Order: sequence, then C-alpha cells, then structure tokens
Amino acid sequence: MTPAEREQAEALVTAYAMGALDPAEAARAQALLDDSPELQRVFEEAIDAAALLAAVVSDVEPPPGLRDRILEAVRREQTDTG
Amino acid sequence: MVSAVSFEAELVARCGAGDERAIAALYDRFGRAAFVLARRVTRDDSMAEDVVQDAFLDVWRAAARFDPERAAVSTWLFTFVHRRAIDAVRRASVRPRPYPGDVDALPEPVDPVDVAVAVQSGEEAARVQHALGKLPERERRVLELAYVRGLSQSEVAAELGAPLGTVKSRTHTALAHMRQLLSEAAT
Repeated sequence: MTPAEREQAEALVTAYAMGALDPAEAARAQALLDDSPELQRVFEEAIDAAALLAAVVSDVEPPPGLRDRILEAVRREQTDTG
Repeated sequence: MVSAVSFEAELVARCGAGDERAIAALYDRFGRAAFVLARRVTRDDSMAEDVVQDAFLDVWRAAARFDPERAAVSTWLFTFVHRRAIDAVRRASVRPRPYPGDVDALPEPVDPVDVAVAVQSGEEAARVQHALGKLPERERRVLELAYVRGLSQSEVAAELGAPLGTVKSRTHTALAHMRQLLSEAAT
C-alpha cells in the first residue's frame, strides 16, 4: 500500500466507524479491516471517540424499556446455560 | 481512588462471573452512546433498539474473554454495537438516509460546546466537550456536520464545497485528535 492509499484506507475505516458510509462503501471498509490488523486498530480508535462524541452532541435517548429488556435477555441466558 | 478505566474493566469481569448487576451498570454507563451509535448506523430507531440489546448480550457472553490489556472497555463494547448495526442494515437492505428533520431542525453554525452543555451533564460529557473545544476549527466543523446534523461524508463534502477525499481525511484526523485528547483527559 502506498502512503496515499494508506491514508485513504484510514479515512474510509474512520468513516465506517462513524456510521457515515453507504452499504457498498461499508462493505469495502469491512473487507479492508478483515485484511489488516493495523487498520483494525485505526477503526477501534475512531469508534470510541465517535460513539462518545455522538452521544454528547445528540439529544436522543434510548427507549425507556430497553434496559429491562436487556436484563431479561441476560437472565434467560443464565437459565438456559446455567 | 479507583480509576474509571479499571472500574469499567472490573464491571466486565463481574459480567464474566455471571453478575447481572454489572451488565446493568455497563448499560447505565454506555447504553445511551451505544444507542446513538446504533441509530446513526441504522438510521432507524427500532432497529437500533434491537441492535443495542443484541450487542449487550454479546458483551455478556464474551465478558469472560475480555482482555483489558488489549482494548478499553468502551472500544470493545462499541465494536459489538457497530458490528450488530452493520449486520442489521445488511439484512434489512435499508439505504442509509439523513435523519428525518435533523438537518433542518438545527440551524448552523452550531457551537458544539453549547450543544454538549445543553444535552448532557456528567464527567464523560465534560471530557468530550473539553476535547471538542480544543480541536482546530476545521476539524471541529466536519465533526459538527457529521454528528450534530447527521450528514454523511458526501453530504459534508457538498456542504463545505470540499472534495470528498479531503473530508474523509479531515474526519479521520479530527477523530484521532479527539481520541488522543480523551485519553489524555482520562489519565
């Protein structure tokens, strides 16, 4: 990969972490990630900052019942496996 | 004082040991960010809800294998959310679109610091807000357009009258910068 290609690839996986790609581009980004642990690291670095930032600038709240649904699912899991 | 980072890793370890209060605590800490991320990828509220539920179940199942040396808890958790969200979009074959209403609802330019203050209080928000305020103007601008107004990279490029490649690399730099500022603030 040339430095310019590398820069493009990093930019693409960053946009992927942000959820800013259309499905075709997203598939391309995922293929790059599957092939490269280094890009995987770039992706992981981006996703953390992206998710925290998104939460701070958004006024969206998760649905009120979601927390309970998750706890119920976890309990079911414990009953099934434990 | 126990650092936030090791406290989060401790929560994951407790999930691995079957303590369901720990998954509740992780949800209280990261649930909202997880939902916003899922919604951003799927552009659909009900899909995002299912994604977050599945992702937290993934976290629960994988908790015993979590290696705190390898990744931060937040990174690890958001990766599950992202993967589930991408899968959901693929299954539904829904084309991503701008959030209905968001683009018109928010006048520009939006001061990210004001937005952050208005939207959320707490330590995490303060850290993110601080980091955002330290970014160079042109980097902050791409993040604002992407996150505050919910634009895709192509839409950001059109808005700024800049080439798509420039927007992508600037976004990359901005987030890397954010990440660096956030980790400095955490230590």
